[in-house]
Amino acid sequence: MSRSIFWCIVRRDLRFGGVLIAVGLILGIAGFAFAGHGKVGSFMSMLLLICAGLAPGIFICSLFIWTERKDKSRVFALSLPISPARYAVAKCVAALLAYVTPWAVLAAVAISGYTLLSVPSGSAPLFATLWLFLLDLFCFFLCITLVSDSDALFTAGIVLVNTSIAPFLFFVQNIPSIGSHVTDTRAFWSPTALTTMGIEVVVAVGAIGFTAYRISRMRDFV
Amino acid sequence: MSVPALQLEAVEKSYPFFKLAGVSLKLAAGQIMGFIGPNGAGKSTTIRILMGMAQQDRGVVRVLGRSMPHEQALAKWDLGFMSEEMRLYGYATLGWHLDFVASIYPAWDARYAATLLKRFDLRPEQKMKHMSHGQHMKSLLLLALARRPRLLVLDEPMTGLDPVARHEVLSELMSAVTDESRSILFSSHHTQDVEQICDQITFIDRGRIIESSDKESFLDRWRRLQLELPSGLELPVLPGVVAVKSAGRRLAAVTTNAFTPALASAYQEVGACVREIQRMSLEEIFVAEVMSSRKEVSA
Repeated sequence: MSRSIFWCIVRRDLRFGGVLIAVGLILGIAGFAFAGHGKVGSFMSMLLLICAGLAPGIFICSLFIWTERKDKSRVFALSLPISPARYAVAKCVAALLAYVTPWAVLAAVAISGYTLLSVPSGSAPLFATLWLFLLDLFCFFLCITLVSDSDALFTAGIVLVNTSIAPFLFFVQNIPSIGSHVTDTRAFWSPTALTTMGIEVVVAVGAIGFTAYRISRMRDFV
Repeated sequence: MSVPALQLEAVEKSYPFFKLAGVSLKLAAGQIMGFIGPNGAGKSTTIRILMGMAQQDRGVVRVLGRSMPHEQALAKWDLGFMSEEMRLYGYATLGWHLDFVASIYPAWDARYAATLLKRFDLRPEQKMKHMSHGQHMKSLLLLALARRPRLLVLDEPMTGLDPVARHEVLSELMSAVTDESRSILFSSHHTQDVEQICDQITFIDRGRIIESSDKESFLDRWRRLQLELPSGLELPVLPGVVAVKSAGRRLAAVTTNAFTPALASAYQEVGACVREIQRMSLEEIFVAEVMSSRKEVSA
């Protein structure tokens, strides 16, 4: 029965977070629509895709977890027949589903565009590393929100997540095997690009693993 | 013998500026306990531990026979909890909350919920963020009661309520306690509310249980004796006297927690005139108990 409450909580979050999922998808699709329309189009495309990968993540953590803690509705949730640790895992699963669903759909759209529409795919490694970096940022922020009760850390997390995109893009574009192939017609998956992506996957899994570990050791939830 | 509704044995919990020190408490099935203490006494900490929201550093906690916090998911099936600091989801309606809780609890009593909605004048289509504090509290009580729990834990449920809402909530609690199989732990610093519905009273102060007994025993044992003293008479220290307060040179008020007619006779024997023996309200007993306990601790 505890399992059904777990999914009740996940469903509840997904229902209230439905708007965020939709907004993420709309922003991403709009970003793809701008791609290939000159320099301004590319800039807009990049901007909208970054927004699609960043903003919903912050709102999901804020709405699903932080707000619930601040407005004390978590006390109500914890009065239900579920342990606090399992409840925190349900929140983590709901947040991941709400973020990863549009993230994966947009990644699939990008892959389809590169393969089916014969769009020049030289930018694919850059897009892939950026997209995985956005996933990392979400996992990192989710970890902060779930593990810490500190408002200061929450605010610092938002600032860090928002300001880390520009340095990341600067860093990746200056990796010759990624940055110098952006305008190519075919993607060049260099070992550096693949290693970067591998590290990003490990960071995402690590952040979620650390979150689960910390939750399992938490003693006080209110 | 039936399983106690809740049992705490030597429970300790330390925070940087507060410590719950060896709290032991027992509530038998079907009883209603008033858990009274000043602000910051440890009521909410104790209740958080009972609800599995915080874990004790030491000691044993059992709720409805289940060990806490490890078996809390099982215990909470039969537990209704309402707290002054608890809030429902602001962006959802009361109706959504009713459906949500009903979908979880098989024993949910939809007819009773509908009755309470009408009695409390609540509208299911209203969003929680648009409700007043009183409406919010009544909604929480409704959600806790319609689960038909075996144990109801209420942490300061009356705080911030206007007199009308207070009356409504108290009336509903009074009718809820007619179910003799239901146990209630009612935490408050308002003794009048507790006095009306509880049959057991526990006082807590500065993280320690200072007294726990049935209400009638409290009211029977505690008395204030108004004495008139001949000049120069010094009152002897008699057992059971917790406070002596002088009022002028010839009057004194003696507070005792172990009144027997023999105490009055003892004062008369030393030359004092007992002018009046007053029963004390629970609030007066509470204040006297807390002050006497603090004096003992600091001595």
